[in-house]
Amino acid sequence: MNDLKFAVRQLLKNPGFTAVAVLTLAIGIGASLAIFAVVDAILLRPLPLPESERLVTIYHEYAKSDMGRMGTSIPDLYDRRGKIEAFTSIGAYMSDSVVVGDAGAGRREEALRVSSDFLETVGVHPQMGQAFSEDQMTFQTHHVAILSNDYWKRQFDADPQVLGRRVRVNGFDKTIVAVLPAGFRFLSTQPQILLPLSSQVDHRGVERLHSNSDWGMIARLRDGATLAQAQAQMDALDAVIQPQFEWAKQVAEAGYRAMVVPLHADHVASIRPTLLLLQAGGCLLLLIAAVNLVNLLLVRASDRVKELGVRQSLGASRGHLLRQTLTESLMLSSAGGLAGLGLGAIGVRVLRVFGVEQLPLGLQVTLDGRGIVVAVVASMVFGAVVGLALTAFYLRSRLVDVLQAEGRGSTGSRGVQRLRHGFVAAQMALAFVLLVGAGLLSLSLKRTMEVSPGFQAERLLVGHLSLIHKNYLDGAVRQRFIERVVERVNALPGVSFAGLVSQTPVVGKGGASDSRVLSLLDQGGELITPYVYGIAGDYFRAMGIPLREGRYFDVAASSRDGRVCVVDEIFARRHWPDKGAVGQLIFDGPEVEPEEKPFTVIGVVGAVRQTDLTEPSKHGAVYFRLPEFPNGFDGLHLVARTAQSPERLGPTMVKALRDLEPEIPLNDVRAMESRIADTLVGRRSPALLARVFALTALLLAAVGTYGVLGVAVAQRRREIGLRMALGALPRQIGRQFLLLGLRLLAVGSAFGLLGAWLAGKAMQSQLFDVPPIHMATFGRTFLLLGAVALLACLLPALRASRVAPSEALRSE
Amino acid sequence: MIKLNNIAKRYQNRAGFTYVLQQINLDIAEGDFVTLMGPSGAGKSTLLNIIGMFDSDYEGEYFFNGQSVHAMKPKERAALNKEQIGFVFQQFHLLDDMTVAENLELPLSYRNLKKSERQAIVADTLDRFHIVGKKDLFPAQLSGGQQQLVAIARAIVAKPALILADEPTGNLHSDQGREIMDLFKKLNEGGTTIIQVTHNEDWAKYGNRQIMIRDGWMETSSAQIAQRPLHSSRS
Ligand SMILES: Nc1ncnc2c1ncn2[C@@H]1O[C@H](COP(=O)(O)OP(=O)(O)O)[C@@H](O)[C@H]1O
Ligand SMILES: [Mg+2]
Repeated sequence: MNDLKFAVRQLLKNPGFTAVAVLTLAIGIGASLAIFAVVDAILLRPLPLPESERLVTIYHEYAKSDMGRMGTSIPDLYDRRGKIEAFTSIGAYMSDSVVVGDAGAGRREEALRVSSDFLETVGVHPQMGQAFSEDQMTFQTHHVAILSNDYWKRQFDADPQVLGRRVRVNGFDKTIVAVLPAGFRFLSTQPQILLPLSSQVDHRGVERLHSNSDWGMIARLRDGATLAQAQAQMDALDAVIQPQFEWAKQVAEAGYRAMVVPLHADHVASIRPTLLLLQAGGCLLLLIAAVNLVNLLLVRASDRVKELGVRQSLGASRGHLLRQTLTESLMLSSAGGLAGLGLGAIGVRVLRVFGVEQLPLGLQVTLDGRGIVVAVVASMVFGAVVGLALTAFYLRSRLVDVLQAEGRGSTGSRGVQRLRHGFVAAQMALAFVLLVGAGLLSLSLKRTMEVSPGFQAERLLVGHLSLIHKNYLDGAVRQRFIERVVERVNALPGVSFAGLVSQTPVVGKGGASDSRVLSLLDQGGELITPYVYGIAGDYFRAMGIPLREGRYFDVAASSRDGRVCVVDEIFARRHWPDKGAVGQLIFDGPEVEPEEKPFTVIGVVGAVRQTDLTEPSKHGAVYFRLPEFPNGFDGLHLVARTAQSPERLGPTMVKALRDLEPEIPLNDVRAMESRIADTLVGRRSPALLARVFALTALLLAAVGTYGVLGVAVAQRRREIGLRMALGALPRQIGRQFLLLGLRLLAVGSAFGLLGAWLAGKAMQSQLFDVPPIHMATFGRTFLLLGAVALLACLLPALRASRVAPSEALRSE
Repeated sequence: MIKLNNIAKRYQNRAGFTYVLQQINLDIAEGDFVTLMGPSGAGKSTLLNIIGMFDSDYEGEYFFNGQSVHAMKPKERAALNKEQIGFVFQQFHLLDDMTVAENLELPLSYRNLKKSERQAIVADTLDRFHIVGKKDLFPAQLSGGQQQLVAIARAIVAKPALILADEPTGNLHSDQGREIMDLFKKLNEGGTTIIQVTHNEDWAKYGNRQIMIRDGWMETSSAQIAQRPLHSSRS
């Protein structure tokens, strides 16, 4: 009879055991696998671009200012191209969304504006046609477009003659010059159309450095060149160029440096710790499952020891025995692995529901061959290790003792028992760690959600308008349009206040608000870089940002106010701690220039959170009226405070604006609250997942505890019966088992506490306003684990107390 | 076939050592049918396990067909055991999850035999032991006697030169016991050397030699002992 057949027979003989074992393993593998799919797609797999490991990105750091990290400016591209030996090419890009098609019938599409060297830099050649040329990079010459393969198939029926045809973008006609190969993706975007990243030629000089820093810059490392070389050459180049800049001194003082970093790592840097944390959680769960499985296998240890002994006495070598045990454990583990694959596939879907697609590179998350290979290999390795360990464990007793009568085996089985108890305690400890981890993440999420953004997010509707359109290039036309929009929306029934803003706080694109270098009359050499907003209409009232001092902008008579601004309380306190802010003057640019007309502060408003709920701004904010907004604007957010649920008003508002101007559609209309909820996806998903993991761990630990105590009772029925016959009370017997369970709980919790402390420390950077040791969480975890463990002990204990004394007489 | 020189076996306990076998000197020739007797705890099983090469932790010398077993590495010893010895246990030790035929095939599966050869031998053996009708039954479906019959069949299926049987009839009724003993007799007549342990005087008479063990010491009670053991100096 071969090993396989025997193993199948053994597994089928105990279907309950087999099912629990397979399921346990499947849960562990499925959970780790689902998380691995995410980690693999986001952190491990290279970007889907040729030789992507040589792609770097360049960003500007102003370490000593509040601005932190910024993109690059127009002159940077022109200064750096061809000047850095370590790069084969440098490209710049900016994500955008454009309306493609004729007025009214247009559709909003994801677009990428790219410099002439961009495609060469990322290493993508058009399937047909040519990449943009440098002379197409001006506003006079940029009437060209490159289509994605998908868009070409979708909108042009894959027309082979498409080159030279026209496509309407934001109302302008563009000539199609190329079609991209299928599946083109850049970082987290899948642009349908590429447009030239055009600029005015006279904006390319050094005087424009450090302004409108919103171009992303990428470069390709030359073969053999290192990141350090590239950084050194970048620093050397800046040492030549930067001194030519008018405010070079201030820039240097702000801690400016152009940083060269790997593109992929940089893109996923923010999510990396969270993902690793979750992967650790998944592995912990797998560990619990593994321990559980081994424990289940140990139930039959004494039978197996004897069986292997008999086989040995019949001539089986260690190799034979190993092969046989391995067959069984491998079968079990591969069944678990297969079921785990299924669970993993479901898990990946569940992760999508949890919002994994919103993570950087999240669109790439799938359970593919790699994940499957990892799962299969991992479960095989696991099966092999367990098989080996168990065989070693089984063969540890001396053959003579095994083959002798039942009697002397007792020491061996006590060893098994101790091992199993140790494993139960270990499971409890691991479950404890996961429960605490989940508790801390949930608490952190709760505290984040409790943070007030500084405005009233409920009953607030937000939509986006893009003013990049040939009819709206003129400032006066724009201004008139803005006034009409505000007026129109204000008049809608159900809207109490409406306003426009250059960028909504907290939920702005990529979380980054605009900032600008400003100056005051006596600022004491400090670089002033507040967040800046251009607003129109009743923005403050619509948002519910309270007035602290002075007044809001005059809505009705916008023109009479002159050059005025409103600052928030942080800005006011920082710069005029003693005097009032109202009436003070603010100048554009890093130095007060006598000929320039300043802005007069007319009011102080409450502070809002800028880029992130968890981070109060240090520099505060300054609000300008849109026509005078020094940063300029091409897109605006419309905010409207509504009487009822804001979602219901959405369609009405969209229609009202379409009636007003069909060429400029209102997009992305959603309630502020759901936008804020979106920004929390990086916290909510991990917290939710951790909770799922922790509860699964708790369940597994309960199964483990119940299993071990249940077996202990079953194996000791005779002994219990004997004790009963000798006068033990049922209560005493039951208590004995309950005490055993409590002992395991105590040991497990002690180690769990230690593990939870370490985990808390490791998680610290991910937690908002939560200390690594949070007593209440520890206490709740202990109570929960204790309750579940007690329940798992109670049933076997009860069964023990019901053993009849006559069992003592039963023969084996 | 077997030559034991001054075999001694001791166990460590709290007080120090306890010898459970001492000064065992024994010669067993090919074709012998030896019966070990003695009170419970005397050391019979211990001795049988040493002879059966399951136990290597003893003092003294053990020669099997001239080879020094005491000096062998575990692998060599296991190989010799596999080639020469079949063991019958008091508790039968059949594998519960295998049918009679599968139990019989088990020892063969650990030897390099083709499937067809194995099946031929199993069929042969089933025939010889008149248990063809039981071949697809599991041990739990057999009586104790039948189980021991199968166990013996399993012990001889690989054609060992020596059969060791530790109280093979200890768990059986006397009718069943007799059947087993007749079987041993037949095997012995066929040339197989047999060493059995029994408490039953009648079964002891099946053999041609009887050896008495008390407190780990050998006493002879039969004439044909090649080498006289040193008589106990104590007691
Ligand atoms: N593993 C052991 N540890 C300690 N003493 C043992 C061990 N195995 C056997 N003994 C002792 O060795 C003696 C001989 O046992 P055994 O050979 O089984 O006797 P029997 O003659 O009944 O088969 C007994 O006193 C027994 O208690
Ligand atoms: Mg014995």
